[in-house]
Amino acid sequence: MVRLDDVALRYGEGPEVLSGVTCHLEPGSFHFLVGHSGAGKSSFLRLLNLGQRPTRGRLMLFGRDVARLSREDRAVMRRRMGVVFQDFRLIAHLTAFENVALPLHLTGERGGAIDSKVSELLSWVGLADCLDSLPATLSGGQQQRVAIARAVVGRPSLLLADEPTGNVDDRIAMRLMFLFEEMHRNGTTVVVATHNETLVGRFAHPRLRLEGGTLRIVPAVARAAGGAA
Amino acid sequence: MARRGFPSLSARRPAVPKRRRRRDLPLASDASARYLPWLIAFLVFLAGLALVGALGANRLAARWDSGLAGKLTVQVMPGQNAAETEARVGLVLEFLAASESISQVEVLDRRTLGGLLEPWLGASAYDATLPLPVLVDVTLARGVEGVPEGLAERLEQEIPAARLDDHQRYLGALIDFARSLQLIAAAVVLLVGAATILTLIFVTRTGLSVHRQTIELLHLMGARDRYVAGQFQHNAARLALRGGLVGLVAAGLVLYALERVVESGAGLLPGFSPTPVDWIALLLLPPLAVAVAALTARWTVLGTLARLA
Repeated sequence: MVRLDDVALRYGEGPEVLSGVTCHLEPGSFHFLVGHSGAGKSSFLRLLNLGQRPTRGRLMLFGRDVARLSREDRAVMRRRMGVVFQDFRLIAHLTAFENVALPLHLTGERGGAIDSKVSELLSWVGLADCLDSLPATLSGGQQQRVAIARAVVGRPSLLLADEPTGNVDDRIAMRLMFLFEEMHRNGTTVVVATHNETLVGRFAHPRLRLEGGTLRIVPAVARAAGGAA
Repeated sequence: MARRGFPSLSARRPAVPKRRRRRDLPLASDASARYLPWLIAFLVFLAGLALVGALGANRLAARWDSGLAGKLTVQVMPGQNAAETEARVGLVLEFLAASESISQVEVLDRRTLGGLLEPWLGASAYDATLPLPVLVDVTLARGVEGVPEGLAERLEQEIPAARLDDHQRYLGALIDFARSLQLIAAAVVLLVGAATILTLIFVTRTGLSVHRQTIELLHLMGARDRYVAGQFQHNAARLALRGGLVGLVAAGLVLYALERVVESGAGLLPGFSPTPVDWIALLLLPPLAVAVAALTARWTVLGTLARLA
């Protein structure tokens, strides 16, 4: 699903923010991406969602070398991904419903199928009363839930979430993690970047720990507390 | 999506909101959406006038050219009295009748002559005391092109008071004038088209810059370049249609007024009034503006995004 061989990333002429990163994420796996602020978690996710090209090394996604992808191929590949951005990146003039429906429009789904999927999902994340609300009228936590709903509505093969629970209370955070777990169980490869070690500790998934731009894989702890399983 | 074991946080299933016309990029609220229709209206207005001008000039030139092809005019200077003038005309008619190159001659009566001069002289053109030359309309035989060789010289030799006019001196100048008008009008149409395209390129690039973040987001979600281009294309077409219709109405009103003026001009510019063909050409301008706007926006977006890649 995701394979990185000695991958490095730098922005412009700056220092390498990621260096010699090598890892392989199996299809259907679930990984937490951890590290202190500025360790390169968002940059790592940007590489995976094709927002940046590696400055060195080789990145394979869905069995293909991203360096050889055409613009068209990149668009097609991105449709197989769901991304939760740390800053949500909702489209300001679209309602919560329309924001969540956007990935479905991009894949060519129409009318009734979109309506049922989007309303059901927004209801599930507790936003049944906010379908017509513009992002500016929603709280940070609500916006985050809209962003998560948008990322998962198209049933992506690869889900990348950057601090998806940073703005919600513990109860909602657990609900959202259950959603990611459920997607993982249905075959989606999930990578969740977070600095919330308490949350990570509740789930028995391996961690990708970023320190000083290098990646270390920490195997799963054999316990799953908090009703996560 | 299977979500077994996760009860809804909401007690009820929400009603799906009423669908509205959705555009991922808020191009309709850009500043360009306010001024672009007016600019396109002005350009369509100018193009409309220029187009009808070009067609009118073309018609005028063709009319002058074909109307006088195979025709000559003999001008007979008036004598001291009517008898002398009549004698001169008689000699001219005899001379012309002897030429095999001529099929028909017709002496213009005083009233017809007065009618030709009325636009310049007014009612006094019909004054019988006015010493006007007599005009003899000559039609050349079929197959004869241009003035038969030596005809003018022999006429002036035999009847010094008569002069042959093949119209080429002023007709050539008039046709050149009409063709120049036509070229100028065509140039205006082309310039207006170029101005429309350049304006749309500028507006589209500005839109791409203003909405860069949303476009980047759409790409990250898997939008193809042509999806983004479609949004700009639709917006440009909508604005061009609005502007084109306003420009069409304005040009139509001006041309209608011009038609009235030309008609009241006692035939000074026969054939210059707009015809049904002109009106049809005018009606084609808004769809043309829409097509130009849509294609320009599309190609600009696709080109710019390809370069950014």
